[in-house]
Amino acid sequence: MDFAWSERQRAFRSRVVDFLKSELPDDWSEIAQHGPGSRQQTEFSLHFCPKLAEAGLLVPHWPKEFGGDDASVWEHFILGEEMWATGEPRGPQYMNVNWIGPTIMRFGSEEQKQFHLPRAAQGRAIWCQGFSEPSAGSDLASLRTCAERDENNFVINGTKIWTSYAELADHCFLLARTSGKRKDGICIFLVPMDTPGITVRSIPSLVGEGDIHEVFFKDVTVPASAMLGGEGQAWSIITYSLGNERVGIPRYEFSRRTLDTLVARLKEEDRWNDEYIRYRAGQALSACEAARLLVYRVVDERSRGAPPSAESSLARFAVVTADHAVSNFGLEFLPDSFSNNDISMLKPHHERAIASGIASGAAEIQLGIIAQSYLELPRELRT
Amino acid sequence: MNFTIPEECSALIDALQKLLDQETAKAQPVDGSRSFFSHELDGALEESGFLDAASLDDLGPLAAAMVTQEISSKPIIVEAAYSSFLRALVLAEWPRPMAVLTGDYSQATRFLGVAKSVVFLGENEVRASRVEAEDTIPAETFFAYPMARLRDPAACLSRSESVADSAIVRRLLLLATACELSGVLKAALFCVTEHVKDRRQFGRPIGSFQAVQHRLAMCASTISSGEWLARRAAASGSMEHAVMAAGFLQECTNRILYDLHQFMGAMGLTLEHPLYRWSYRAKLLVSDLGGASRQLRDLATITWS
Repeated sequence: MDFAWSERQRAFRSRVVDFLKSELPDDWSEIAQHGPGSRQQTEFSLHFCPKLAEAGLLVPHWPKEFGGDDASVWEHFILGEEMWATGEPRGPQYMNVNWIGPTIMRFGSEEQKQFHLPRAAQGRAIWCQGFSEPSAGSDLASLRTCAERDENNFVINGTKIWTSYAELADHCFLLARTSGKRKDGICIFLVPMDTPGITVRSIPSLVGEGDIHEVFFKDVTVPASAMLGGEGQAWSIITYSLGNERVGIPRYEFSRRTLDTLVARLKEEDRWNDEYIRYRAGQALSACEAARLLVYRVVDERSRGAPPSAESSLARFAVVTADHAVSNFGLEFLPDSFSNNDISMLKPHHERAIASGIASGAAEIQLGIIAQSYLELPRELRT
Repeated sequence: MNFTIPEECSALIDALQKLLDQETAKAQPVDGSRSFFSHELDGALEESGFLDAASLDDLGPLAAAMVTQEISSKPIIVEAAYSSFLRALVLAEWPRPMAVLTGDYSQATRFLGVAKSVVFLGENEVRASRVEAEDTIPAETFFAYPMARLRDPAACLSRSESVADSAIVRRLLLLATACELSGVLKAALFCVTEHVKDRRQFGRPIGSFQAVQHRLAMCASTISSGEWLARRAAASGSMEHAVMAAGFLQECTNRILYDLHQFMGAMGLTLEHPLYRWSYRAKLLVSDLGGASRQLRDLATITWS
């Protein structure tokens, strides 16, 4: 057991940090205020991600045949830590590198791989995730968007909601039902967002620009070749994808660095001698480091090829706790900085933190998984 | 970065579990007493060398952390944490069991009535003295540990010797607390989990209600966090990690114990159910070394100095 980074891992992190220092523009913190889904950050990503790709730092963990460098799971994670903690200059493209690309690699047809993977590996692809619906959030299996076969096409009708990045996305990773009820009969379609019949409505929110939309599909016709995997296979595919994504974003790192910044400001204001402030800072710090350790355990499992386990769910809850601890620390002791915006990344951190128990699936679902898989408690009766 | 438990540690814990299972089965609780110190198990652990793991080259402090967590998980009380860290690493020549006094040396402390050594931890100095039962007065068994106070603290202090660096001792005691507390809480959690699987109300196991499941799941995540913070602290040898582990666990303990006792209902308020053997150890451990208040403030000071 070893809690230290290897020399190779430290060298990789230095490479990422150096790249960020040299390539992020002076006004990056202003761009980052808008959020990964904003027009500003999305457009920035279309310049930044190709440079990252050229430097071998966009998809280093992908197999070489798909533009990667077969880098380790740990290196992928180190990359994610530095990116997320800086405000995520990859914008919405972080989803491509984390799970959409790997999912297409594993389940896609040759045509899909040939079309989508190079674009993602070159930093030129913006995706949105068409999962949740007005009546199907945590209970995703009850989704109603349907895809009806019409010779060599499917015609899609339905509504998605809470869809991040939809307004600027090129493609939607869409769940739609071709038959059956619940998990059976759900399929995945890779849908170009400029297909006629798709309407996107932005929903103003607390969590940054471009993060929440409603997407309407009215008689949207896509070729049958747009289906990813087999008919009705969606549930097993997304279980694989989301199993890896549950701890995909290293939120604790952003929280930790934000906390460092808040403490620095409190010292400047000569308030660090307040015993209660120091106590709360220690509390928030220990929450961040607890989350880090549990996430690292999951990454360690993944690096050894073990399938996702309830450890991911234990980690997820710890991450949500850490995010809120840091955000609340800032709100309680430096409220004016939220109005002045005089601490860069404070508002973006807050926006990510308040979503951390909701985005990527409600934390309560994880608590249910912990209860059943880790504590082996009986399933709740469903009516 | 590698979280695989070393084979030597796994083998050690397997062997330890066998010993604990044998001795726990033989041990009988004392009727009406909250405290259940097993001299037999305590002696068996000393003789078998499990409490020396920290000082062995092929094992070390991480193994000691896992040994302490495993021993603390049993509803039978022995003096393992102090011996596993403090005695194994800096006070090997001193007899055990050990007791520790900090701050007010007239206060009651755990294990003192059965201890052969007492350690006095001051801010700048650490002293130790040999003790016998006649040097101590038993205290009320409010906590699940055997508690006693010194009959004459000044006399005991006057015959004590300066033994070790106070910062090192403080770090080892924080580790001991963190490891013991994480083991105690984890066992308490799984004890309650077993209960809520069986206990039926309103036509079904109470563990099938979402409110119960979610709160226990939150406890599980928090306890798992503490368990690994403690292990990291043992492995790294860093004071920052030791205060963090102890502070984190001490801060969350009362919330966890509230949930665990709530789900046990009235049964958990009796001495017939063993939950108190864990919860009433945890209730003392929260105040060790100044408690979360001291640890988390120290953590902030160390990290952002």
